[in-house]
Amino acid sequence: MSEQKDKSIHFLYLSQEDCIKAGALDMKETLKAVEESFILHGNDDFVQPPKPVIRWGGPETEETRGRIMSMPSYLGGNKNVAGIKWIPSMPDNPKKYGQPRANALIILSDPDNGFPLAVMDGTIVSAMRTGAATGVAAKYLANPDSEIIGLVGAGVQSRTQLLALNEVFKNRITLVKVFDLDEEKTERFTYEMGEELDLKIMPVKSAEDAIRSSDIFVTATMSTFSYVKGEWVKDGAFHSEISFWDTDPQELIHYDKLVVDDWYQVKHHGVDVTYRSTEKGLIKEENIKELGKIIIGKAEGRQNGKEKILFNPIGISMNDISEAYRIYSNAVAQGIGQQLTLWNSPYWI
Amino acid sequence: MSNNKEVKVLWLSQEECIECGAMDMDMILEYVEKVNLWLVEGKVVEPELLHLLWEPGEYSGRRIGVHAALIRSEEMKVAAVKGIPSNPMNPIKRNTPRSNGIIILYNEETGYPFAVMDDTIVSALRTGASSALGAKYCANPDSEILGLVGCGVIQGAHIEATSKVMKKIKTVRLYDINKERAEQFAKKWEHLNYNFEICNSVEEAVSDSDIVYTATNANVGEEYIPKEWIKKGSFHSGVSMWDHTHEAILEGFNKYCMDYKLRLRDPKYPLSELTKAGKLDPDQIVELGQIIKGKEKCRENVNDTVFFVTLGICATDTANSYMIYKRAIEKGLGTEVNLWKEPAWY
Repeated sequence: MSEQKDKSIHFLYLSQEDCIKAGALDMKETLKAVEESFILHGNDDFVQPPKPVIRWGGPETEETRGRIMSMPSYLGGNKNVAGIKWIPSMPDNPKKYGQPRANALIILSDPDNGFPLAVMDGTIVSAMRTGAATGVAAKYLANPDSEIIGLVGAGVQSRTQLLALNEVFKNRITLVKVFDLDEEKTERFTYEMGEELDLKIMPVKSAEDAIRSSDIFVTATMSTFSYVKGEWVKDGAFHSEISFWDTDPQELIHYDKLVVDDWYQVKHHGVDVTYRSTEKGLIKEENIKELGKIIIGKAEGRQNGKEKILFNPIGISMNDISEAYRIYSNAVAQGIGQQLTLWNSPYWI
Repeated sequence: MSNNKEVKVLWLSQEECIECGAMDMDMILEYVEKVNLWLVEGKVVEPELLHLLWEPGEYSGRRIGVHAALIRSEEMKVAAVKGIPSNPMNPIKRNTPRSNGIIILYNEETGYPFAVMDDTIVSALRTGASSALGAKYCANPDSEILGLVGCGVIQGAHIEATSKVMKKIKTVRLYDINKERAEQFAKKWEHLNYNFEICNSVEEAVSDSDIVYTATNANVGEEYIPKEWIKKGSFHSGVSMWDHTHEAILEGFNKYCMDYKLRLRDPKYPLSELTKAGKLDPDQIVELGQIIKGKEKCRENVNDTVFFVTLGICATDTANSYMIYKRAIEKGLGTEVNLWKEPAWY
């Protein structure tokens, strides 16, 4: 038995600004961290219970009044770290307070003694890892010579989606088409992302225009109704559906392959289109594959250039914790952040 | 709308929380009782309990509890989330506490955090306070013998809270697998002036006791308290869940009380298993808040034998942590940090 003399426990606090200083906006590295978490997922080297939600009313109030979601996981392998992301999202914030809809805090914990390693902003991590999940999926599931990208929705999510796709298909993208119901948002997106990425970005008049003839397209909207038509989807296209209601389950019969990040989580949530398509008996459950299994070669990915493939991730805590751990490690190495004390000497009560 | 987009968060360490009342059992009892009332008045929302378990089915092993609560009462409006990792091997292998808890308090309107604080102390004390309130409302008021099975941190909170609400206690029977722990426990609480008896068997601690609390590491399948040990008219709080056999729960008791009946939906603990299996009628279980409110009764006569369950209501952590936070603001304690000075994207 080892007797510890100093019983104090400290952890690192990282504000959003600290996270950015430690490389939170480096999409190339985010892609790596997220891919590593998918590999652990494929190897079943993780623990990830379903995510509980606090609401102010019924499920429908999540989109109106808001919610707080808890997302815990443990990553095995050489990461060996546990963590929880907590992410409140209040739709009225931008209008009422001029502040973001969502903010997140992440606690990273030592999986052996359970003590905190870090408490940190998770807002950037969340947005970056969502983009990176599509990026990693596209790396394995899109045609490698993909050139044309379509984006439906021009919000924060679409920004990181494009950052990730641009990183994966560097110098290959010839055109990005964007559609959003909010024209001003579309213009701002076109201008800002064009500046940032040196890409040809073009606003289009409809979701159909954004989707038709695109090699890769992403649906990331606040839509409450479905509008995507399977017949718009080009042969060989890769579609990443980030939001919930854009595509009707009926349309999934037009796709050759359906891929999710974690089928157990998707089923537990019970809202995503892939789940609803199996509920309705349109798609057989065994035909839905997990990305991690495809990456490690335990499930079949793209088999030919003509397949139409849908990726429908629910968003998993493992992606967050892997990415947060990357930033935390950078911060430790570079001396970024503030040391806080959990206790100097624990009170045993 | 303000131009200042900075979001500030106050960090409170364990020592600072203690300075602001985390060890104040009178406050803890007061707010646990209030939360039980708010629960039945519909002023509290909690999602299902969640545990990240390293070994599936090992409910008493290494784990992280993930909890959340929303309080909207006249006295306070606040949302909170809590993470409490626990490794029963910590005290043995590392000589460090088994658990540590961190709670985040949120403005319920914007969802922005305003405090992140230690919850280790409050979490333990509110558990003791919950059982003690169960005893206050469901045990025989002249109960004299208290039996404690397991003599760890959680039982310390139990004896302290119980000493404040059950004034007739004279004898405390202690049992722990490790006898030394029972002896240390008796020494630590000797100022309560009880007659402490260290027991050689669990049965001794349980069978003649008027009030029994079980707080052990027993896991599913290791239940050891049979119906024969349960004294008629006694009150038991099954804090660690897997101590009483199903038969003991069904036949040793005739009255049931718990602090949050919605928890009957949770898949894995004795009362939900028994009600789901149709062996126990959920209508037979009284909610503690209903008794406090005077709407329902649990004990009707001295011979009623009551099984009580507290399932760790996060709102009890939330209300107490909020009170501690308010005192910290008054005293100017804590370390202020930023969530952000200016948000990067929105």
